[in-house]
Amino acid sequence: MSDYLDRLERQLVDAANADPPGRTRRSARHRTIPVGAAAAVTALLVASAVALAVTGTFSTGSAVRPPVRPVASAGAGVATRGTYLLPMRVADPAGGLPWGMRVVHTTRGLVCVQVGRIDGSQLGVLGQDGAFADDGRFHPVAPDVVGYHRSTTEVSSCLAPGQTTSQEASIPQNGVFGARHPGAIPRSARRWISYGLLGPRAVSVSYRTDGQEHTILVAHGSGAYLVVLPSPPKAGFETGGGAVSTTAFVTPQGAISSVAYRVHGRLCSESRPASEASSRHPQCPRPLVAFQPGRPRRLHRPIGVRLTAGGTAVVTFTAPRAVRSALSGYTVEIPSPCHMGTSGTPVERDVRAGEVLHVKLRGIFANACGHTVRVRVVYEHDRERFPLGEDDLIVGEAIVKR
Amino acid sequence: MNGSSRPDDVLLRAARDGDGEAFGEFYRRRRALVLAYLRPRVPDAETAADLLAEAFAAALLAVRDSARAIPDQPVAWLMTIARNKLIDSVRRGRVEQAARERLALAPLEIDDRDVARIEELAACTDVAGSLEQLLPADQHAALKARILDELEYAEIASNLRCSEAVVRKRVSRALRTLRAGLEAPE
Repeated sequence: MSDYLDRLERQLVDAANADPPGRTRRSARHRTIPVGAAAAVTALLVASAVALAVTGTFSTGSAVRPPVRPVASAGAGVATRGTYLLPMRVADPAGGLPWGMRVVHTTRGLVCVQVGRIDGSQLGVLGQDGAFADDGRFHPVAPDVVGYHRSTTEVSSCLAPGQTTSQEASIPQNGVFGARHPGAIPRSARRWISYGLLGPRAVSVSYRTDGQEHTILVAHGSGAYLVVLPSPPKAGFETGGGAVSTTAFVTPQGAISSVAYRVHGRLCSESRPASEASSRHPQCPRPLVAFQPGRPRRLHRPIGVRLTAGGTAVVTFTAPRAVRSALSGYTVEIPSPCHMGTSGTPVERDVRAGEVLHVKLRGIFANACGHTVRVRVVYEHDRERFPLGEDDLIVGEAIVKR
Repeated sequence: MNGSSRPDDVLLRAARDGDGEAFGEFYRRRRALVLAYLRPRVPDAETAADLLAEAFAAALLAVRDSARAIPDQPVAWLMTIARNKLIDSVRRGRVEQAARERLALAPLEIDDRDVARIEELAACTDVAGSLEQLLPADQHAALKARILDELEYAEIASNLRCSEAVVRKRVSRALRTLRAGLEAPE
């Protein structure tokens, strides 16, 4: 019997032999759904999807609630009165309820954008493709469901005010994020979604599908856009990603080939490298900003570490600065001497200046290479930035022995 | 060196042209180095094996992407991918499967015999020594001190008897060398 390393080699060789360049996209696009062991499940899911798509009628089911009760002063915070549903409606390739977007402002200073199916004035998900016991109902997503701001794989993204974003995701047509068994959902029941908030300078986005170029106008002011395409062109593509920018321009992601902006009265565009040559407008003027990570200040404040059984530790320190938003905060870090990364435990709540904090760390020696680990408390002014910058503080450090 | 004597970049070009066995050879030749790099930085052999699979899957995706150049220094490129995957896993608290999902690679089980082989391969391979072959001595010393040993710039400068600015420059050049040829996929 072959071992793990040999089986991995066989998988990689088979994958490398499959779909050689030149016919990858075409073969993927025209591939039919294989009839195999999962045929019965697949047929059921497709039948249910088609039936719902054709009838287009959905009764309202239970609301989607946040997994834990949101707190105004912790995590992403709770939705404020600034939450609103954008007027855009995008047809699903199979029909049925259209897709739309909601913008949520939170008490902790985040601006979150959510994508889902729209019924009347509500954003929600559908009870099909294995979700909600296939009850065939529309399940509105409650206004207090706020995506966590560090997540990049959900159809929900949170930004700092003024940031712009372009995101993509491959999700089931029911709109449910993070399906437990995505492999059981046939490609025909998946959608490739591209969405974003491109800011007030954005004018339009362009994308290609079925060999044709399409251009749609973005929402005035917010620069919001949403494109819903049939299943992704690449086989096996399951997750999404995106770009967030603090400048006016975002590099297009996924299905989007270019974004047109109006700058000083003239149109320019941001294109993906492959489509730059075919762009109809000149590239937008990019500000020349040198990357200088800066140097955080060291406060050399005392850090207490109390070890308990099982490698758990409680780190105690006094917060030198207040925290009032999800965009800043304290993190207890453990840089590993033989590790190129650093593990961190963030304090995800509002903090008063001078407040004494106790942070529990599990497995404090998990990545240790020797008999000690260094524990460092960091205040980050902007948690989305990496590495630390000039506005950040290293509150203090402590060496912990086993 | 296992298999043929074809250089790494030739193997990757052949893989781009649809020669899966060439990528298999590249994998066989470099898997020990990647494992040796990953294993001391993760809690167990299973996680190292998981990261190894994700790193090579990401490498294969990049090789198949005709919009990307084939790297001039495949080992440095591969190690950068492995490093990115490792850092991502630490930040997210789990090993990503995005590349394997894109290639539709099924999860592989790992047993005690696999664990023993991975530990053995990792223990018998010298990462620093391998990187040393890719970098000038001064850059290698600075990079090892900064990245592998995680020393502060001031401390490295004192050890190497040069200024902090010189250390920063050497580290920067070393990283640029390692990244040369191709941007590693996220």
